Amino acid sequence: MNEAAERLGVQIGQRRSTAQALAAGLRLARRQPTQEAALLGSLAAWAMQFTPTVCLDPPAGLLLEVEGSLAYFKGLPRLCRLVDEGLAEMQLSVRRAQAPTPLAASWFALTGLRPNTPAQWQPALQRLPLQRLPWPQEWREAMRTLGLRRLGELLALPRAGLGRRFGPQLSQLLDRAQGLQADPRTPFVPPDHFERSLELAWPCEQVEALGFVLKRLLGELAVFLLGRGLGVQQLELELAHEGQPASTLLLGFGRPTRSAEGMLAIGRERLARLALPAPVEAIRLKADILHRLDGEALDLFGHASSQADFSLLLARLSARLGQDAVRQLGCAPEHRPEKAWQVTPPGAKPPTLAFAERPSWLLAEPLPLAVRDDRPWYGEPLTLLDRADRIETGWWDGSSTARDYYRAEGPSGRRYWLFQQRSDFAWYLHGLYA
Amino acid sequence: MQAAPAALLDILKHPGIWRGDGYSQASQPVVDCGHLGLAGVLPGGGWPQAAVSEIIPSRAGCGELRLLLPALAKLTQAGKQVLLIAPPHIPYAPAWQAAGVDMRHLTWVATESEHDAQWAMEQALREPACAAVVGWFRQPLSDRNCRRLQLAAETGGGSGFVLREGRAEALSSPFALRLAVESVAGGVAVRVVKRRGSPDTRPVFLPHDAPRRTQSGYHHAVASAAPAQSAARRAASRHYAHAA
Repeated sequence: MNEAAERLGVQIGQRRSTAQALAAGLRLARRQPTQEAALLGSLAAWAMQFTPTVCLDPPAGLLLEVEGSLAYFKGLPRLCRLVDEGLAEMQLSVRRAQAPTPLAASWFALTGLRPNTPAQWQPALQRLPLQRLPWPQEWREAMRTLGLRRLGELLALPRAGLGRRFGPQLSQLLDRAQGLQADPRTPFVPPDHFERSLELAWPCEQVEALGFVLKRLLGELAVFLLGRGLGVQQLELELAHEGQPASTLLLGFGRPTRSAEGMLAIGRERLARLALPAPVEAIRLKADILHRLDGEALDLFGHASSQADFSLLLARLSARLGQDAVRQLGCAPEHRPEKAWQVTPPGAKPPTLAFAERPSWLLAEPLPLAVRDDRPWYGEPLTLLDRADRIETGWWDGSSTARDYYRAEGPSGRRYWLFQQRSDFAWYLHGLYA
Repeated sequence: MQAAPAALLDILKHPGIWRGDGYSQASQPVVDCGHLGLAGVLPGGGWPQAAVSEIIPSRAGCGELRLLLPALAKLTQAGKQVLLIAPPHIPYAPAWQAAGVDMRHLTWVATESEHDAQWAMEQALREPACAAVVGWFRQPLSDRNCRRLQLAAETGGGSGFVLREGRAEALSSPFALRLAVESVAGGVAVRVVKRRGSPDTRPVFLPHDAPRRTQSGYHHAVASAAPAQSAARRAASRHYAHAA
């Protein structure tokens, strides 16, 4: 229920007809318990940046044991502010409360009646209305008939009688809430991979609209990664269609990252180039391999981070232009000029080789030249500058080469790299001294 | 009042002040261009950073790389990234390496259309990790696209170079620095078509390098013993030619 509905008087527990009479344009949505549980899980993973001990408090609660983190975060107020800021960024509204026992904190958060100062938690606990505590209906019913309204009144009653009336659990709950009895909880263990799917409200045919859904999923992923100090290098995006096999997109980032913006930019590029075979019904985002990001040393001037941004740029370029369009070059130990260079994997150190004077541009294919007055011609008569550089090799691998290479210059002053085929004495242009 | 002249000089360095008697003295950040003669005519003595400059070769291969290679070599040696976008031919690694370019920091981006090339150049210029982005275009860029590139360069802080073949006078663009490159007998002539400050139409002449002497490390291509040679191969590659 959102604020607008609340202003019109819609309340939880109302009948559907009443609510629709109050708010004519009311849109009703079914609750999605699996989605809620998934969100709680990713929120728990996010909360692990504040404390190593996070416990799930189903159906919609999280417990953070912050005592040990207070020194690191420089006090409770600052920690609370960080939590609030993070939640506001995710556009989640929560009720937050703190108390020395998990049960009391949970009850304060649930009822929204939290103590004014942390020290006054016990009087505040006494004031809690019994009807709003997450207890079984029959307990609350029985307490109402007994004339009990506040928790304090219940605590004042003799325990033996309470135990006979409500069973031993109530007595245990009360002791745990007050801190008289230990309340061990199982800490949340975050999953070692991320997988989240989203059903679209209606089939989506436009790729741009998918960008918005992707943004939300990536936002959740970033939150999950942030809490655990991890990053991803590759994501799998699955677009489910009705009656057709799902389309799968692999998003690669060059380097582990957890920046939602960077991942989204690459995802958008890939989506924009995708031809959808059918409308999309659901989207699933999967990150199987997570990489450790924290503890990576940055040098004084943040060189490592700029390196990461550069790999992101390259990933973005190859997402749009194709994997082969972004290349790094190196020399290769070969005499044949067309094989003396190679595309090298990024970051690899190509061999440093000594070559004779070579042109800075190489033509992809040697260009046959006309001959006029016994001289090769390329828009102008070419004069050979020095003696031949003979390359005769490669007879063993099927691309045998027997050529005499020359540097040549035209009247315009342009310099060329020519060769004469030794088999038929034909002239070719192979490079330019630019 | 001994400090006055120095103070005055400082004030005159303000980019907002234009002096009629010479090109802008503004202390705009530049990349050393590596050519003494050229540094004399470029504002600030080098290639401007956080800006896009236009280089107009009369024909591809008439000396435009001679102009750029020293600066690109220095940048890559310093570990900075250089991107080549849609070059007209293959950037031949042996020559680039010989010019001092650290190939690990050079990236060649091939594009299928002018539109992709413009997009790639804008993306790269926007990225602070890219120290220089060189883009080749066949069609004239619209004013709007030029401004987009300029804006991207201002965001990223790198040097952008737009290369377009043609006659400088026939093309116009809003870039602050425009150079025409032409090959002449024995070298390359560079003319400043447009720059901040007073115009200078005298071309700068960059002579061709003298032919490299054969060094002791190798005689010529065939003999540079980089590949592990088999006996059969050695027999096949007899020494015929010499670099003069």
